Amino acid sequence: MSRIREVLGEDPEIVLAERRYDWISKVLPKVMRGARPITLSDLLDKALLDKYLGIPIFLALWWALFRFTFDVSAPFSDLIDMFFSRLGEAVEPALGGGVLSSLIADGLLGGLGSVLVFIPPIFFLFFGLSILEDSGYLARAAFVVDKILYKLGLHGRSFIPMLLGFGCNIPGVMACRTIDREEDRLLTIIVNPLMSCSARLPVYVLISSAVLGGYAVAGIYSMYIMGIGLAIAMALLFRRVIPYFRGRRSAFIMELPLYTVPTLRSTILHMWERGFLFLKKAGTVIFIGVLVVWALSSFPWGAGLEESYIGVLGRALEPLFRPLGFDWRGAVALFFGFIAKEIVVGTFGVIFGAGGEASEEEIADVIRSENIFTPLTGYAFMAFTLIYIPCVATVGVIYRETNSWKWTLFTVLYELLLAYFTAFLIVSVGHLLGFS
Amino acid sequence: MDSRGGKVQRRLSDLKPGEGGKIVRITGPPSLRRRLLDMGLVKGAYIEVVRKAPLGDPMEFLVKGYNLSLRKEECDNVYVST
Amino acid sequence: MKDRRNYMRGLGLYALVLGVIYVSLGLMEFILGFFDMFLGGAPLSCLWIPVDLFGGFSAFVIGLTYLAAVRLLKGEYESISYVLVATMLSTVFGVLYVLIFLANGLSAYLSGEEWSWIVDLARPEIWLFISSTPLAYSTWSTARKPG
Repeated sequence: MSRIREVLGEDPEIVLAERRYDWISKVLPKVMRGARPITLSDLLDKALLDKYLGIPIFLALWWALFRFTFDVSAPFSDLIDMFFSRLGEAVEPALGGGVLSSLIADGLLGGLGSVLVFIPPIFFLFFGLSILEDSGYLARAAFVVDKILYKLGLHGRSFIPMLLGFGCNIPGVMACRTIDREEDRLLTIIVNPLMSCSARLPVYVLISSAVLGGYAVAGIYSMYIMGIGLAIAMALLFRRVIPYFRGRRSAFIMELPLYTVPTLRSTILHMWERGFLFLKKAGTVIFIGVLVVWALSSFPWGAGLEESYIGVLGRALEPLFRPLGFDWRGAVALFFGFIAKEIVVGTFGVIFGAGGEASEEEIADVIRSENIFTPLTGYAFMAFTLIYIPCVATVGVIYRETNSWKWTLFTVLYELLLAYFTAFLIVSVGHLLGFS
Repeated sequence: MDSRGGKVQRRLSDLKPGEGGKIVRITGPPSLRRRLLDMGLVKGAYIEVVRKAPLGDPMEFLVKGYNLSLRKEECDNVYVST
Repeated sequence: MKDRRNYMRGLGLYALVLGVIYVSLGLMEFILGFFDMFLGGAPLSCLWIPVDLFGGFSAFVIGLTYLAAVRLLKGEYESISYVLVATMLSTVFGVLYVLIFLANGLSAYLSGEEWSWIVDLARPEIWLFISSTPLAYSTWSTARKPG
């Protein structure tokens, strides 16, 4: 190998590539003629990548995607919610009211319902994302925002993993394999869980629809922005503070493909593939998690909720969460959210559904009527949920991809601290501004 | 600026949108050079700046009939003669 | 050749009118949304001006994109790109608000609650989208055939 290099005075691969292109450039003029005409893609790029309009258009398109995901999918979620409520109501008397009927009606059906309700927004999100990707706009989005990412300690290639993180942090973390430098890859992995994955969406939807009223969608949108902001801030901080992350960074070399009209077939296929990943996860881990919550909240059998195992656990954690304005129910929900963040919703469902089936609407009603969250503490709770800890599955993937317990543990710890700090900040600043 | 071989050489990153030139040499670590070569940036190829990103970086180029985006840091390693 | 120039001017004028409407609408939506969100209530309520911070921002951006096509008036063909993208954005948001209208209707039907459909239908972006379709048609068909 070194002998070849000596003879050629260059890396053999470089020489090969040069020869190859040399030949192509000799043949090409003989078979192709004429200058490249202005294509539709060129025209679209002129405006979409415009110096002044490029970034505003990018933001407007994201906003459209969010309205599409949340508002348009809402009636389908209502439909699923209604179906499971009615089923629970119908089943419980038929089984007689003992442990078994509670297990089936509250535990199984309740758990299943609280997971399936979120299938519509997730599929709508992936439908929209697939259109953006298949049309060729997503590569432009990376082009438009690369400088910000770069300045802020990340890499242009971090954009795709971060974007996938919006769906689920697991593929997000796994996609970091495409970043060639170790430091850039590791940094992107440990800030990836701050990207608000689709499992956190149910929590935002529930809390914001319960306490934020007309600002529900704006509140949810701000969670995504907050996640991005914190990811950037953390990347910047780690880049400065942790010696391991200092140094040179990898290149940004990317083709901007021609725009194409996405076909319905491929869009639906993409949507299905990604949505199914969520379903599979939902079908196993989350479902088991909800059953565990049911068991902890129902035993000792016959005891009131506050005397149940879950209540005891919540009481023990309550002092820790007092400064943030969460009571023992919030603490319990967060504790179980470690299994998977959507369980936070399932936990509320089981806690409030004691003796009956709590639909999403009912949970929201209880939150309002029992004053569990004010708009301010509700918002802080959403922020806490966004940040506090990656779910079990993500922690597992982080370990597998970094191959280091040190970095895995670091990720878990810094996120816990950051969540507590952020929620505390929101509550304190809110109080100063006169919110309760 | 560098005037090796009698002709004026400029860094790719110094070109303005609409300007272009023939690639004269590519410097930098071999891994970067290989990746640039894979994307068609070879000696003698004609490359033209299409535009800069809204924030000035990265830049978009037209090379071998397709659109490629590179960061300024990478373009610093590519010299063209105009 | 002169015909073509005049045609371009016509398109430019059309885009400019839409741009002015979108920009003013977006500004009003944004300001009302801002007041409502941070200063405790919108100062005026009007059926045809939604109180929507981010929606207002989006309408404002669409308007600016239309306005960026101003050089069509001088007959500069390439400025047609701003009209292409602006009409596309008009379509995205117009269709979006129609879908939201339908979704809200379906929700109301399922829950049996009353539905103030007129508010959902009085979303100006829907009607601006409809009035932009002739412009969208002519620019997109012009841009598709080269030269």
